[in-house]
Amino acid sequence: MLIEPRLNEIKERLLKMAEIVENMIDNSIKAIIEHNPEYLKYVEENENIVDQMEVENESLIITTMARYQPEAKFLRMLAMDLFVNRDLERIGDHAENIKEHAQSILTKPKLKEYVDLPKMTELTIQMVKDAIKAFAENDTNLARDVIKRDDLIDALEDQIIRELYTYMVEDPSTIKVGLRLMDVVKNIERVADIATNLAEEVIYMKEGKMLRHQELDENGK
Amino acid sequence: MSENVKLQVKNLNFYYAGNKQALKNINMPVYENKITALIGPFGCGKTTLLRCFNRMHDLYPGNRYEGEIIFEGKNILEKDVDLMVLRSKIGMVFQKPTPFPMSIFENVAYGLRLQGIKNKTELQDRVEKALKDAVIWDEVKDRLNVSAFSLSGGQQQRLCIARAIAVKPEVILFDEPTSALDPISTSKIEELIVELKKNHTIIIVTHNMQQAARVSDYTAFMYLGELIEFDLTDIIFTKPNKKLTEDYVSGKFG
Repeated sequence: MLIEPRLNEIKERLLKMAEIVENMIDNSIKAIIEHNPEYLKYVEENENIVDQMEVENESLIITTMARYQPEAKFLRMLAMDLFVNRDLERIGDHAENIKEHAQSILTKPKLKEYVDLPKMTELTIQMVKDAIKAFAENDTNLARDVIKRDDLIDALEDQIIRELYTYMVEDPSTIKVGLRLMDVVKNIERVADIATNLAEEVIYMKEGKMLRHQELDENGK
Repeated sequence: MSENVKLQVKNLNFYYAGNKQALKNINMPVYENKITALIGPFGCGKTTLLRCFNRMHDLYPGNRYEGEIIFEGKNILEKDVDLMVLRSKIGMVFQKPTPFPMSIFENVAYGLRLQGIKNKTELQDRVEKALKDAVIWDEVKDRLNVSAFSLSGGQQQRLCIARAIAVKPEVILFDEPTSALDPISTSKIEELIVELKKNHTIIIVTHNMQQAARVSDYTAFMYLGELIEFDLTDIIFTKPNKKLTEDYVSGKFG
């Protein structure tokens, strides 16, 4: 089929973009955890690159739709590519948000040794990696597993926010950093949501089953 | 567009016998190792333009060209052009498969013999290569001496493509090459055409717009004998510059 080389090209571009935004999130959080602004350089260097990639990918996907009139599987795949492209760009935006908070946080002394934040970040990045792996390999089992993990992220978010409250109540001088950190945590939580959306889209692409706005049943289906 | 220009059409006008003007001041490049599609509604002049590139109109008296088509630095519309040589460099594949009433082997060997190739081994090698390049070798290698008419329509068309490429043309003209074929054969021919651009420059006329969209790199949209828009196929089918093109590719007329 003449469309296949194009589909492969789009997929490769999306995988490349995914790798960059995962690293952006990782570096933005590392800057906070290790109290080191050097890590923010990676985010700064790649913000515009990711925006540019989004525009180019979108144009390539739409041109492919126009030229090859995809149907059924191929149509769902290209629709999926559009979603993934948009989702990855949004992950990049969250990394930018975190970077901006980090720039402010790093002007103050370190609030504490972070324990749950690195854990939450690691799990979130793994969700994005697995959602993208599920996308690349059409693996709906992995996609369903990613969806299940979202609850753990929500629990970690609650826990970190509770802990930040106690810091801020005890010592009002930590409020500025505390509020910034809350926003950072919310950004990470949004990234995990996006990973969940990606996983849902993989299931749609493979099975034609729309999972958005629905819960998985007790068998995880 | 930093491509090499293989053919340059300059101020081309064409009149059929009886002075009916079929092409009006056409200017366009044809890029090397690219596929250029000519599209437009019935009677727009796309086939007329295609047939100018190897002077097929000369087969009928009274037809008249004005302007130039520059190929290898020379205007091929000049009277002194050797049409045998021109047509061996600019080959053609027609709408309906047109195998000769002879064996599969002889169909492909025919043009080679006309070029003066007599050596049996060389003939065999060139025929085999052409059949392989036209992706029909595996289907015919055990029956090269049977009549070409025993093949299916799609196979006959690939045989005609093999016959066209055997003489190593620089440019191949396709005139609605799949309009007489079923969808599976059509898809095979389309893949073959895309493959052939590695070694040839291709111009294809099709009134199947989707086919132009799938196979071509550049598209020329024609209407009433005029070239309305020429651009990258990516642009013609997503954001053409002229409203007439937009209306045609979105199916509003034609």
